[in-house]
Amino acid sequence: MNDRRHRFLLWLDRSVEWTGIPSLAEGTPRRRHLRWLPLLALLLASIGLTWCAMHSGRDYWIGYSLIMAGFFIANLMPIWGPLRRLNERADEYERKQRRDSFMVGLATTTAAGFAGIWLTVGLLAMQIWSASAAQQELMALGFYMMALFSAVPTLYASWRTRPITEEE
Amino acid sequence: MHNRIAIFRAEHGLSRRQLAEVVDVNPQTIGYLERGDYKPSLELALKVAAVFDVPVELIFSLTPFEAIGTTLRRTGIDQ
Repeated sequence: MNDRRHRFLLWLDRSVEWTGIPSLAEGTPRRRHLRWLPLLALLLASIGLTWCAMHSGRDYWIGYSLIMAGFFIANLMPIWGPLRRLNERADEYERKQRRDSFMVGLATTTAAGFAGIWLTVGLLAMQIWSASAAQQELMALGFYMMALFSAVPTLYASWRTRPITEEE
Repeated sequence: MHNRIAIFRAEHGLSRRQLAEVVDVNPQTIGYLERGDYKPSLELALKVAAVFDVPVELIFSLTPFEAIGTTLRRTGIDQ
């Protein structure tokens, strides 16, 4: 095997390792701080929800697509984010980190749900939204809340501490 | 809470990973402890102290530890 081909294969191996999929398959997912990805997920989902609230007619699908994109990215967070899953072995620091992060995530999701439901009820009562529009908005809110619940704990845990490097 | 884990670890020639294995935590947790980002439980603090065979208050303190240079100067003057 020539040197160039060998280097290329090594590069491929490293690229696959970097994705975290091999360690995920082994049952020991590689945990890392994800600082920008949850922000991107939340940004997309928030823009989408705002769009849905302002365009409940024919252009509704644009906002809905943005929410779904945010929801999809947010669902990757528990796989590669810094928080260990409940069925993974975690030491006392990781348990505390998980507890604190999910507390923040739950509080944020609850606040969003509370605000969203009252806004929907209010706009329905004022007859600004029709029943079918409110139904659409509630579905969008549901996906937005799920995106929040997946992304906020990772966002909190990733920004709460700086990552520890091997050399440090 | 302040600690001198890094100093004791260096003195005993232990890597972060080795210390983590002995006290049964993730190596990153030792890093967060050393950096002061995490306050350990009493159990973990006692385990760390037991590894270095010193009283727990020599490693952990509620007040900042004296700088090593200051300690050396002071002990040098005393002698």
